[in-house]
Amino acid sequence: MPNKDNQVLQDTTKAINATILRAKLLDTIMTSVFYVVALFFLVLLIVFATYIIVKGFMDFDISMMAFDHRGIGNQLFNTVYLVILALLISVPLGLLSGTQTSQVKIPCTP
Amino acid sequence: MQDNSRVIRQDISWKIIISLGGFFMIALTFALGFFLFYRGIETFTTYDHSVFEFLFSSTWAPTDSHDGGGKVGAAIFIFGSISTCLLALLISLPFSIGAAIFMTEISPGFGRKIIQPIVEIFVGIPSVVYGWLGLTVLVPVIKDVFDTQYGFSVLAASLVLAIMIFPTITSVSADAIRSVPKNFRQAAFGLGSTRWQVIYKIVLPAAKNGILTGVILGLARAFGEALAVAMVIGKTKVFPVSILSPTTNLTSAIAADMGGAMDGGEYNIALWTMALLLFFISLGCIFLIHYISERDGENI
Repeated sequence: MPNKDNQVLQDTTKAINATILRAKLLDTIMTSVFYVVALFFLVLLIVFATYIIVKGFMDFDISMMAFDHRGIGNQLFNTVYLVILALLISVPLGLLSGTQTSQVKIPCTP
Repeated sequence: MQDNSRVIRQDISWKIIISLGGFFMIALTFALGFFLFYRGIETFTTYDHSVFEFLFSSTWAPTDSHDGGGKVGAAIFIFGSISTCLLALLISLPFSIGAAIFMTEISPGFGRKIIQPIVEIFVGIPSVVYGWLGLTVLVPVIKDVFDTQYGFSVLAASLVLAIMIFPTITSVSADAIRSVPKNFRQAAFGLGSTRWQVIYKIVLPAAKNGILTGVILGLARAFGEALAVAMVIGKTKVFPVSILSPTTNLTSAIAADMGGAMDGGEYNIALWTMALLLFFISLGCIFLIHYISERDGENI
């Protein structure tokens, strides 16, 4: 009888050990998968950034910044100008509505 | 006494100004929706097309005049939008959630210092840059690798979209995973779980609603993206045969044709109806997010 009990005990231990081993293996595999994903992002961004920066600077010439038909000075200025104009409109409105939703209690607003 | 009443008067006048600001924003949103609805509904009222035709017919031949009589089946555009968005989601979902898990569970220090800024940089890149890179790098690569005629394809659009929506999904999912209480993990580790078991059985189910919110936000962004997709999708008004064939979608059709169509004509109005459809899609996404976060609040 003790022999049979021993056998059951051994089988159970073996099964548990196998489960633990499998769980550990899976853990290692998934951890490395996550590392690969993170590495992929790192590489992707570095390639992205290097490509844009290198390509952008390769043909860069100071005459490009000129404010005439050859340069992008006007476009650059307009971009900044538009952003400032947009901010002039949206900052007061945004501040007001943000204050309203968070500070002023009006029955029909959340 | 005199001073006091002045302060009260000031308080009241500022309260009125602030309320006006708040109500103006609400009114603006409603006005936008109302205007879209007002223009978009004309396809079905003025030009007498059925909703069924608009959604499911693929014959796109609206007349550029006030007479009407053309065909406004937008199924190709709708299918293009849906297929590119779903494919983009399919591509970016494993990577985004993987990155979110990595930066929160596996390597929090590295994640906070390196991955988080990277994700933020990706958010900050303008969509035209993605489109430009897609046009100059991705399209030729797809053309060479798969030996297709042009390289403009559903696949190119999906890849560009996938790169564009991954930061949204990653950052929202990472926030959701971070907000899972620490003692959940400690309890699971105490019971002898491996890290993967904790992530898979405890953290992900607990953060499920937050991750879903991120997915829907990403999907909404993908649906609304016009510029980058228009540059790589090929703008061919046919159903895509495979993921390597060009097609078109709602946003690029609106962006490309709105300038040339006569104001109030059938063509113009059909484009407005597409805009209305996009508006409804994003509205639906927002409602879905609110529904999910409300349910989340009830659970915890």
